Amino acid sequence: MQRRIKKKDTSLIRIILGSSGFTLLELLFAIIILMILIAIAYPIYNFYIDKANLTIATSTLDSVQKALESYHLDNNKYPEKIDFSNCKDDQNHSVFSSDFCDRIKKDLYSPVESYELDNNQGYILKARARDNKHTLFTLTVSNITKEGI
Amino acid sequence: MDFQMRKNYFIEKHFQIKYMLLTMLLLLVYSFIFIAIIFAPYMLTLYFNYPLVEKTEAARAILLLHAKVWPGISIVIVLFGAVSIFITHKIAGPLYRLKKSLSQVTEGNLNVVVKLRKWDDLQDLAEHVNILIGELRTFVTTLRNDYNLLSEYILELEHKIEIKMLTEESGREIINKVQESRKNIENALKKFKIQQ
Repeated sequence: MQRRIKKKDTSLIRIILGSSGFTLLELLFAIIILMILIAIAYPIYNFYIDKANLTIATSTLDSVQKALESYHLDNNKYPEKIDFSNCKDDQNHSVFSSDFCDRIKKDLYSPVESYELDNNQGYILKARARDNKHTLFTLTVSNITKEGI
Repeated sequence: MDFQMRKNYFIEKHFQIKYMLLTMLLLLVYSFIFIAIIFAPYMLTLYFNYPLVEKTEAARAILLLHAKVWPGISIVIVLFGAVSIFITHKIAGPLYRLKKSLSQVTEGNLNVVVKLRKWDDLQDLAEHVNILIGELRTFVTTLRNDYNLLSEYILELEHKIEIKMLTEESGREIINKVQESRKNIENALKKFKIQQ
């Protein structure tokens, strides 16, 4: 008896099993439930984080579309080029306000992939969202299309 | 009382690690429920066909929480894990001391007094153990005294038989004394109940 008390096993499993208070079964049960919950919740959680990123990208591109539309009203053309690091066109005029420029950098996967004029009729802007797959969005004068849809 | 701080905060490893794990597990479950409740409305907004403006707001809220909640929860869980060591230490310290004192008692040392630090838990238990040890001490003292008396009477009896001076009267006197000691021992034993 004396020897059993003195000889201590310090492995983690022994610590959990070792004495009463709460038993192995209870702890195992709790851990299993937690694991199941995590296994169910993790993909759902990730799905919603991606969805949130995609929604934000859509919303930002929607605003970009409107901003380019107002640029078109002011200058009677779309900008030839946009430098997305400071949001200025080839003649060094601002295309977007500086706040909006920061928002674009924050909300889209930077740098913005490409911007080019489309036969002088409109433009094609390609940008990626900040989700896991970095989904590619294509913005034209009239619509926003998402890669794979 | 000894008010010194203990230097070692891992006195009873088994006990303390077990409760640290339990604390962390409980916190994890709690955070889980907490997060589910906080995220649910935003997720519902994203899931159903709400206007883009509302969806964007919900999306921003989710991303903000995503960035802030996880580091916060990790810090809280680790912090409470650490705090649980301090809390269990308040119990583990006295337990360790009680265990040590009791093993000394088992080895036969009845001069043990369990002393706990001022901020320790289980003061009540320590007091009871002290009372128990005191009772045992009195019991052993009674037994020892009567043992000495009985030894004396036996010597006296032997002596009287040797010199052939044992009269009925002196014999009865010794028997009376022996009876008295016997009664003392009987009274001391009465306190303890053992299933025969």
